[in-house]
Amino acid sequence: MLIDIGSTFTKAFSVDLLEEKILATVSTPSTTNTNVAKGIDKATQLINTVIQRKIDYQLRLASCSAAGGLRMVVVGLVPELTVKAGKLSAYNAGAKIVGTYSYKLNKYEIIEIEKLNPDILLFVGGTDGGNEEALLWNAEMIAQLEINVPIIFGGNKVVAVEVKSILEKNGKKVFLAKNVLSEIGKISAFAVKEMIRKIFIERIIISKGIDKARRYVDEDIIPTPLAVFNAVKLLSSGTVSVKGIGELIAIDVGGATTDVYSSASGHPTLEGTTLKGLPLPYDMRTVEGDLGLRINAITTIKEANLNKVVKSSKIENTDITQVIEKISNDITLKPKTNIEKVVDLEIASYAIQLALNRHVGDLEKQYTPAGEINIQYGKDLTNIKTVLCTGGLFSHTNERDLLEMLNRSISSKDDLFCLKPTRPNFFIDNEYILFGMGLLSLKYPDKALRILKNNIKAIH
Amino acid sequence: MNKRKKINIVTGVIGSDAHIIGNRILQIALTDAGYNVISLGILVSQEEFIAAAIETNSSAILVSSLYGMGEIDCQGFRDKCIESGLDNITLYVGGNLGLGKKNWSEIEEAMLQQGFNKAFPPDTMPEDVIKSLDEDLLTQ
Repeated sequence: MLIDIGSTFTKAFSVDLLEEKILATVSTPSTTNTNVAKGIDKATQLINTVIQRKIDYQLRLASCSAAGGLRMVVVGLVPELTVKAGKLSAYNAGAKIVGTYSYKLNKYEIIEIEKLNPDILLFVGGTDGGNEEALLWNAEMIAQLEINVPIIFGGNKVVAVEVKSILEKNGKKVFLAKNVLSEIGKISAFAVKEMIRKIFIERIIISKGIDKARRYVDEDIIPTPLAVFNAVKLLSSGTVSVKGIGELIAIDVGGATTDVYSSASGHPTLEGTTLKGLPLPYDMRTVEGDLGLRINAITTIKEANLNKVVKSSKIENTDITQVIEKISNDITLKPKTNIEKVVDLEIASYAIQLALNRHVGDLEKQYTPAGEINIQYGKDLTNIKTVLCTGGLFSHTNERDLLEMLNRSISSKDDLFCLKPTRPNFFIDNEYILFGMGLLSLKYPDKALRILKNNIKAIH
Repeated sequence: MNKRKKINIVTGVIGSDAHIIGNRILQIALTDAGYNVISLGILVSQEEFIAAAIETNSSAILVSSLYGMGEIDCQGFRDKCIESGLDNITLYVGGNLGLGKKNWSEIEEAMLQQGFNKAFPPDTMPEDVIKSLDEDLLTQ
């Protein structure tokens, strides 16, 4: 049994491990405000009703995005260097970043961080043997925070012990990890990612009241985006025994956020292009906390109006104000009327376009005495042939409308400098099993991969 | 040699210039001499030099330029260093710096006016750069 405890719904599905088949999938309102276990019990009963028998499960695993998910603040030094490396590490751990700070902190920023009240504070900065002064300053400032937030230090190792001492003297709980940017041009996200995961399991789950669910499952509960990240990575790279499907992009369009995952090298495809900026990891996740179908519907539309997005002709000259208000105020809404479906799809299109634009790299032309040269920042994903989409929208929209929307949103040739896929094939996770296969991959990676490959649906 | 090990130096080829060989030779020589060299490669903007210098707490930035646009590409560099808190960082520039200018002393003067500590003409030997760095960094 694979369970996801969300803020609104607890989703579960039952898998026959021998046959490698999905038996049933259910969704029931979450009970995280009262007793989280009730939601899990209810999901189990529903599955038993669908399958028409009671199953004695060999394995129960769970992920969690409830109570706002894993909220983090990143404090680093230079925005394009250690702050960016810190953000990438946090995203890859399944976090939602609610604030980022650069250079030396001031007291107003300390007050801001207190108001944000993150679950974890990631403190980075300086390559190994690099900047110390700014880090020691920030340690003194962070020590003054009047919130009880666990702090991960993943910065210049030369001052790690001193930073820890400063923070611990002021009652802060500090965890040390390898530097996210030990030298210029080399990101090391793994140690910080593992530390985030450890703290989530040992502390965050308890503080959010989700720990009571632990006795219903057989392994530690992990953040939902981390489970999805694991699934995407597995699908792309495969295992020792089962081949993956190669480079791919996955997009998860939710009510509040849109996550983009890419498993791809991102190397330049245009001859003579020079790659600049921080090298990005093969497996990468970005989170757009302002783009979503419900809570952030209005913000998404505002962003779309400010940026160059491709719009559908279906909503031209139509007043959709009331529909938008209804959609953004009801997080459980499944569109029923034709106009609700059209608007829902349109907002999804904007979220996908904007989120993907922010995830992929850019191409810049420069003119030099030696002629025209191309400079690439970020990943070149133009040759990606597989785009996998997940989220509630994809399970309740017909394929023809989905395909039209995805072609318009992803393969548009309007912006040649934005390195999005030009001719991908689209797949949907309409059973919403990605998180579950990410969980299962921790115990049975070959089975998880085969089930994934058999259940994601190509749309033509 | 030991004192050099504690010093970080950022180097690279500025602007839209892709001539890397001279800079790479300099990087190897400086590393062999014991300095910690952070090499940013080609097509490096002023901001990238400065960002790397901040993160690595570098004592010097060595800018190479061979395509004749160096004087233009370096304009405002010292000012940006000051704004970024690198007021006293040692700045060197070297190569084929001035398009059309034939007189090295004119070019050198222009670069010093821009706030560079030293300017080096084409064909400068790495040993001369190392000697200058030792004077400027090790005696502080």
